[in-house]
Amino acid sequence: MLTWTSAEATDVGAKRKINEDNMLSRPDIGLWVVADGMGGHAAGDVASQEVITAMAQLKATPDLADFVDAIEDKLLLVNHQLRKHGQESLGGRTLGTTIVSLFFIDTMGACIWAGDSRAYLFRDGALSRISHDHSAVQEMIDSGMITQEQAAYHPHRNVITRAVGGSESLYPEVRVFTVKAGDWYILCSDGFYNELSEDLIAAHLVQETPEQSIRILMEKALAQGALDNVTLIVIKVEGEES
Amino acid sequence: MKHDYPAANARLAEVAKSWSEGEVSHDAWRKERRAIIKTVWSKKQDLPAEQGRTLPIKKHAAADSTLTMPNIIVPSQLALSGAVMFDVAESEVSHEDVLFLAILLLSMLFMAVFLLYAV
Repeated sequence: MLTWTSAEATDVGAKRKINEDNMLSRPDIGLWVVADGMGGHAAGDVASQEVITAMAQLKATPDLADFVDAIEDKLLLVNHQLRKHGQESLGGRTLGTTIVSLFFIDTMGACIWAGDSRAYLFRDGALSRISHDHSAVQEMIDSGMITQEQAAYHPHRNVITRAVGGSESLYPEVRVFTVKAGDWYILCSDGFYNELSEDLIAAHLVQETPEQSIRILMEKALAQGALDNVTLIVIKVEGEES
Repeated sequence: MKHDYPAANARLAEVAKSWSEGEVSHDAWRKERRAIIKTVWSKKQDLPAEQGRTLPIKKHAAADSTLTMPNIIVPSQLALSGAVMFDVAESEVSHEDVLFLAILLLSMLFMAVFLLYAV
């Protein structure tokens, strides 16, 4: 029998005036979400809040496929609503948000995402990425045009290719995985992973509790300068054999 | 994560790509996705090759290794591939700052007009 505990934090950072990130932690139903809004004041924060509000309405289900369907339905609905809101109330302005969500049922989990907010897994001493960024630089990395190191300084590093509200059609991606005792998971916005390398994240993630992990990781991210909003959720999985 | 259910995740990514490129409908993507997840969920093991496939997905042509690629791809080039681009870097100038500058400019304008006619 697996059990999980989680902790979360968000910070406006050192440069931004508003926090456009939002998050949801529902360990009771095994659901966690991070959304990073874009579009400026009264747009980005509204977009990310809309997604979180919609996801908060989800109810637990014993079937993984049904849960994936339910999440996708919510995201497609919010995408439509944000497009409509932008057209009708903001003079055609685009407001959007990235989304990365994790949910666990029994010993299986799924990740649904759109945009460049990320989900990571720490297992057996190694940190690996679950989600795959929907961004211009990720496409360049995939096609071999640039390296991961070059991407960090690329002029188009802020360009994302999918977002809830970003276009008429939304194509969220899905990945499934096994949940094991001893696993640690992270959901974060780009404001977090742009400040801390994956080596540093791996070095400080595992602590006594997720709250301690959050405190240490957030302190380190903010100490780096925090040019963007920083949002982070840490999940610890425990079981009989851990 | 590369080690859990590689065949199922590869298949999910393949069908999702076909959906985003308009090769299959949303209903077809959903049906295929449900079939993949249900197979993995019920057996708690990876998808056997070719099992659970309800859609014929065309293989994407592999890049010609003799081609030389430019060092930098610009957003307009990416947009041609169907991607929608959003630059999430935002100006650090707030609406309040813009309003303040506009009022300041107007005040200076009125002052100039006043001085012009008063002096």
